[in-house]
Amino acid sequence: MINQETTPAALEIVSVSKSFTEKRRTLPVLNDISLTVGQGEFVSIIGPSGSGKSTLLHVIGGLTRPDAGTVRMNGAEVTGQQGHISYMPQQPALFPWRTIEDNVLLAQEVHGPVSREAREDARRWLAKVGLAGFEKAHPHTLSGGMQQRAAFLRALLSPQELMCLDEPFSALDALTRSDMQRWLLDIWEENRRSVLFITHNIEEALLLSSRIYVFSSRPAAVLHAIDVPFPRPRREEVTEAPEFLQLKRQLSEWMREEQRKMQAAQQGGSRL
Amino acid sequence: MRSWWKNVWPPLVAVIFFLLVWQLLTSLFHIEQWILPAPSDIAREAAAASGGLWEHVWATLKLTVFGFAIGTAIGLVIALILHLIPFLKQALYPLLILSQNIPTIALAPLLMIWFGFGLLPKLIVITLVCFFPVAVAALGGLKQTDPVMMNYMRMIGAGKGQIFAKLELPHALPSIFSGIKIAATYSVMGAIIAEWLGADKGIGYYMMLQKSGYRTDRMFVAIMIIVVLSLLMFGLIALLEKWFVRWKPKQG
Repeated sequence: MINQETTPAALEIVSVSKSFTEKRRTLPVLNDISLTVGQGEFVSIIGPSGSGKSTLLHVIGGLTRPDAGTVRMNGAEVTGQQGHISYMPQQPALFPWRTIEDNVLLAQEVHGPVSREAREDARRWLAKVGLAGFEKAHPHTLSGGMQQRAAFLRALLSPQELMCLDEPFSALDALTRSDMQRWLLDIWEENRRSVLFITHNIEEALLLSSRIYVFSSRPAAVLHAIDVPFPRPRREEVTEAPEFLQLKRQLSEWMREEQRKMQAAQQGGSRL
Repeated sequence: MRSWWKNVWPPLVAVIFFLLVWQLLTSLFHIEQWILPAPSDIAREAAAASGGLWEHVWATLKLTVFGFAIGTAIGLVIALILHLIPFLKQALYPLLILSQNIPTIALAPLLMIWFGFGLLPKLIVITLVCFFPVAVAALGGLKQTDPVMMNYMRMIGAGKGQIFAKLELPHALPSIFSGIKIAATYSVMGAIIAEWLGADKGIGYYMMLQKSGYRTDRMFVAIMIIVVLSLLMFGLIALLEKWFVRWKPKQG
């Protein structure tokens, strides 16, 4: 928090709006969204599925230009520019023809030649995340959780400061998912990268983040921004604290309401 | 090895059975040798003629490999250009398909008129039959790039060239190889057709020669050689594929 006042935020989104035109109808998707990820902060966005979170990610990644508003990273305006974020998608998207080691180095490779040190670093990290012995394996031989760890490592070793994680655990089974959450918590607390985490799992958001933005259903707007008060390093026990449960209840209520609104809109015949 | 044998023995038995029936029927119905020789006659002829045949086999093989290499290269280049310039693809892809409605055998005499009886028209014939399966397969493979991986590459800021080299091309390799395999078998056929129309050596020329002498047994020998050559080309590409696409998980 002190950091935030002296150095510019890792990501600052100011009043971003975006709508798409489809069959002569304008569909607003993002409605005046503003949010901030400070240096070394873990920030989550939570909202009903189909609320325009991936459009926001495309805006941050520079694939989509917003109709209004700006994206700033580390103080510089980067609206519509690509290559400023590191990214972990929902599916691991490891390239099947690359070994795990080469996959993990892909993001670095895209931004310049990979040095011998970087390769050694990648190997050390692979061992650290429990993938020792799989350096030369191809992705299809790994389990879903292992693939996601490799995909996370690929994002972590990418040179950009801001990491955007797009519902990275939503395709995993419940047990693997909670394992991965704890794993991510440990690794993040050790490294403190700036993270923008997109999810629709409330407990996951509360466990991991310093701040949570609650998005409305489409067109997405920021409904609430909550600071998560629990001290770090956090342990899993925090999920049983009364405060945690209270926050969880509060968030669930908001989410349920948004879900209801969305269903009502759907039944009203208007398209999403 | 055991599983390999498991796959091989049923077609092998079928072939042996087929040859046996052929042999029996020719002797049972006393079919004249110049209409349909028995497999044993063909084998005998093959053994007797083998010395003089090498020259022809070698000529055809050279022509095939040469033409196949040129055809495949041109197919890949066409696919690349059409893929990178969408407007060109829109304009030329239908013409590409249309071009395949012209039978090669009808085009070949024209090529002889234009380019004489040398190597060039023969290479053009083989190129014409080879480039198409390669180009179409490569274009198809390049178009079907995994959207999730594509989105990932764009999100991390990869440029068009990097996306092509690191994602689209390796992703398309399996389909490119299936196109090349088809081209490999076509190339032998292309070479034979080219030799029919004007050559002084080669298996195609040998066939024409034996046809005029009603040496059906020798024509069968030629057909056998063509089959072997096709299998050889196919096997070679299949081996290359196995090496290049060794990352691909085995089915089942």
